[in-house]
Amino acid sequence: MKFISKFLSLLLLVTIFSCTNKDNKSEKFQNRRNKIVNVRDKVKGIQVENVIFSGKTRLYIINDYLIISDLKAVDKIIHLFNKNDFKYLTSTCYVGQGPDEITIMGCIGLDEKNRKFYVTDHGKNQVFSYALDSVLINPFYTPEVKLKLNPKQFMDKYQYFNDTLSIGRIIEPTGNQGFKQKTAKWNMKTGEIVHMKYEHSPINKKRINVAANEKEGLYVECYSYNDLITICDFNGNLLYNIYGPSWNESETNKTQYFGEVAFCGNKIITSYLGKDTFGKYNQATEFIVLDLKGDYLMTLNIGYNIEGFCYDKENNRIIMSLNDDIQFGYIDLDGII
Amino acid sequence: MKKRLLSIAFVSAIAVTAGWNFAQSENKGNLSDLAMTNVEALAASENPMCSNGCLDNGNGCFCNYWFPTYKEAQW
Repeated sequence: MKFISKFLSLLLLVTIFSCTNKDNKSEKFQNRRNKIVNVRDKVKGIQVENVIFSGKTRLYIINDYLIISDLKAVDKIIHLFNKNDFKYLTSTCYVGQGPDEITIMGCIGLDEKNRKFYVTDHGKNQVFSYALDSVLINPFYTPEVKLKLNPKQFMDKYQYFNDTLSIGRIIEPTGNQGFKQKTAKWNMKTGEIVHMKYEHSPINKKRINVAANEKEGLYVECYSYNDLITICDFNGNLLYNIYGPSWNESETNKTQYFGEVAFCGNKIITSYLGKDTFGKYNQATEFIVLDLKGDYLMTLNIGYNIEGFCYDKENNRIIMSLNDDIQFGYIDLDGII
Repeated sequence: MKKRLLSIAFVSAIAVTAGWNFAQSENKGNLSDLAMTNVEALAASENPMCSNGCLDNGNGCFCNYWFPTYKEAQW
């Protein structure tokens, strides 16, 4: 009897120790993020000619081009620029109900290898394929339908790697209104969506931005309404949970934390606010910079209201859509991070 | 006996008045919250297509379709 009791006690101790050990490796608490670098004077404005934009734009880099999609435009909604000197090249993709038009534009998938980009239409539940070179030379170019979306579960923002692998956040409507958001893999050939297995269990109403890095085999989830970043591998195994100074498990969207996120070389960069956005005008003005293990490196205080951004790896540059005195700007990261 | 009945009636009247006052103050709180929500919705220029809870300028909201530029109402 004594032997059994001793054995059970030992087993309990081993179990507790192994659990604690695992948590220490993957759970990171950043109580202070106070290495703030002011870089407002290093932000250079982009003079955009020929196009007038609404206040809601998204930026993408494909090969040598900067794509600015204007989600609230009433005419053409995709505009292409030279990514090096920002010279205007062309516009494409009419908004409307017609056969080659986009009703509700979503994300643009970037296929650099085949020089194509894929535009999601959430009204028609379709993805249209645009050949980059044809768009550049033919003002009357019409796209092809690449695939149809399942309205019960569909990809929203994603990163395209090849026709059988994209990673991003999916939407699962829960009725006429309301939805669940998750990270998933997407096979564009078959339309199959496979959920990533790790979910941070205390958060029921998950709202995230996702970025993926094929070379490192990592994806990162930045929570919109919790001070939490999660880094996992491509199989959906948790690597790190990074809890910020304002971390709690509250279930409200009153306070906005993280915005868009991107892998920039061997760093993770995400916009951060940490303030109420209801009834007050608050928008992120800074980027949090982490290494690939989620360790905090610095905060870049941009000093302008950041609407969105993309990363130009050839120029090691962040190009930003700003809701401020200047509408678009960029910052060269060499010598800063 | 009469005195006892009168005192019970007096205490009951006070209790009812206090209860009514409390209920009124609670109702006022709810009205105020509702009014605030409406003000906030108007301030955020609520999308007329999504009167069930999608506001302008956000990271996505579902209302029969997925609207990537809209924002969920406060929850």
